Amino acid sequence: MTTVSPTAGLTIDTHPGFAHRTVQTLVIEAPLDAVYGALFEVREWPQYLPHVQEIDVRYDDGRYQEFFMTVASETDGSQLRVRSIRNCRPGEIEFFQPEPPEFLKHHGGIWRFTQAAENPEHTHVEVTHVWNLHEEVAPLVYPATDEASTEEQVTTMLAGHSKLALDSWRKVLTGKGGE
Amino acid sequence: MAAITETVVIDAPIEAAYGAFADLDRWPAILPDTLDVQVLYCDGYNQEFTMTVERPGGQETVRGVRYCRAPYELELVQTTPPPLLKRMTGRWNFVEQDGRTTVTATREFELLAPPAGDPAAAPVPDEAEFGRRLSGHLQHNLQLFREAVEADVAR
Repeated sequence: MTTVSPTAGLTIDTHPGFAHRTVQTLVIEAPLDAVYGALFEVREWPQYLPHVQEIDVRYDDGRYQEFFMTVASETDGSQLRVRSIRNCRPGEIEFFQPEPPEFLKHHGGIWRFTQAAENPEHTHVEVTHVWNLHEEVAPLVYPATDEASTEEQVTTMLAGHSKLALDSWRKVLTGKGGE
Repeated sequence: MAAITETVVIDAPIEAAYGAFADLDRWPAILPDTLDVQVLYCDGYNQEFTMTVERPGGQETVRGVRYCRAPYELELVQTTPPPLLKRMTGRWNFVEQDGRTTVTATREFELLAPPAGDPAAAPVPDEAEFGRRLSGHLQHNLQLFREAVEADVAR
C-alpha cells in the first residue's frame, strides 16, 4: 500500500500542537494581486501603517522573509520590537514569532487570499492566529476575572489585533474604514 | 537558481524515517560532521535552529528554519546560509510503500557572486561543480540516516 503525501493541506493552522486559535475574515475591494502584494512588501509597511515605526529585514529571498518590526505600544506608546519569520506562497503567507510575547509559548498563523465570490476584482482575506499560552506567565499578565478567563482574554486581544489589521489594510487599499 | 535531488529508500515505516530527520537533537549522533545543533524555537510545526558543521575549510554555522509537516515533509530555508551561498532552501519528502519509505531530498541554491577585482579572494566554484559536491554530500547524509533509522527499527 502506498501512503500518498498530502502536504498541500498541511499548514500551521492544521497542526494539532496549538491549543488556541482565532480566525477573522474580510472582503477588501481591491484585486488579489494588490492585496497580496501589500502584505508581502513588508518594507513598505511604515508608509501605510502609522503604528509601524520601522521594518528591519534580515532575510528576504522572495519567498521566505525574516524581519524585525518596531511598533508603538497600544498602552503607553513605548516601542515594541517583534521578530517575524514568514513563508510567502501564492495565495497565502504563513508566519510565526520565534520570540513571542512573554505570555505566549508559541504564536503563529496564516493569511489566505482568494478572489471574492461576489466580485473577482475583490479579495477575500482570512487571517488565522494559533498559539499556546505560557502557563505560568499568561495568568499574571491576564488574570482571570468574573467576566473572562485568561484564555478568553488572550483570544479576545488577538482577535482584536487580527480585525484591526484587516481593517487597516482595507483602509490602506481602498480608502474605506472598518465597519 | 540551481537545484539538485537525491533519494534513499529506508526499510522502515514513514513515521520512523520522518522522525529521525525531524528531530534535530539526533543529528550530531547520526552525522559525524555535525558538531552542534541549537534549537532556538520549536512549536511542533516551525523550527528555528543553528547548526555547526565541520568542513575542510573549518567550522561553519548556519541558521535555518524548517516547516515540519509530519510525517510527509520537512521544508527548509537557511536564513544564514553557508559561506559562498546567497541562498539555500530545500525539502525532504517522505512516501511509504509496503513498509519502506522513500526519502527525496531537494536543495535549491544560489551562489554568491565572485568578488570583483580581489585576486586574493578564495575562488568561488561554478554552479555545476558546487551542485555535484552538494549532491554527494546530501546522498552521503541520506545513507547515514538510513543506517540510523534501520538500526532503530531493528532494536
